[in-house]
Amino acid sequence: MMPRPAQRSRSFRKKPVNTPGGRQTIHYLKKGPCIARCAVCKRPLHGVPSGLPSEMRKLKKTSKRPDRPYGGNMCSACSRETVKSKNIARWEND
Amino acid sequence: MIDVGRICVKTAGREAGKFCIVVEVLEEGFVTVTGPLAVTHVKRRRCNIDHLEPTPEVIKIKKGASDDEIIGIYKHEGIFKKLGSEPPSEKELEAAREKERKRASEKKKPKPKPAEQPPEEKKPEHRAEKKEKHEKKPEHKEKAPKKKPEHKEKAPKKKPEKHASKKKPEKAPKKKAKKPKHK
Repeated sequence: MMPRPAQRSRSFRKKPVNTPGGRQTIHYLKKGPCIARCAVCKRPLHGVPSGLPSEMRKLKKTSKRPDRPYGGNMCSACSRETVKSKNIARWEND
Repeated sequence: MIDVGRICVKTAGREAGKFCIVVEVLEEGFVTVTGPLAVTHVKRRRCNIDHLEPTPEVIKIKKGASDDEIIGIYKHEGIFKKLGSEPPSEKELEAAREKERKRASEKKKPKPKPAEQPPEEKKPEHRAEKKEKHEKKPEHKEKAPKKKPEHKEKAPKKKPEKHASKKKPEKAPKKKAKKPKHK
């Protein structure tokens, strides 16, 4: 079956679905955002889910990012390096 | 480098970026640590040496010193200025003491242990469980039959004579008129 004009846009993705009657149909779903990345090393972040705004609004604040400084912004390795470099710079000035 | 009395910075975890002081050295690369709770919000707990960054400050402390003693030494040696913070008020000190008391009381409570089974009796128990499973099946069948709600016996429906009004009077058989024969 031809999709209706609103579903022909490239912002939809097609998902084949098996019906109880034994046929196969296509469901048109919205595309979601991509995974969050570290601001420094660009590796994918752990503990940060990705989804449409309607899904993310239902989650709690603590389930969207790790409970650590630079939680949803930097990976754990890069945040440790910044803490070390800040500590060294602080005691050098004194 | 990391000995009793050394001020350090935590690099990992929820308390990353905060100052703390080493209180005791344990085995296998672990260390107990407090920034006194009222000063830096770091609790008294065990920490890995890899997650600590040392600073050039060292203080003379007894092994296993309490938070109140440490705060007294901090004031005496002017360390609050070096850390860039102010000495805590009495409210903050009392709040920190209550928190530590609660933590200590929760640790002393015995944790509920799971029911311990002796390991020798496991094998016959498995076989006994299998038998119980087989025995359960007829029990399921022996359940009391469910009482279905009594259907009210309805009077047999009398179909209304739909076509009563539409009944056409019986037609008499048609008699064809005989055509006169052409002669």
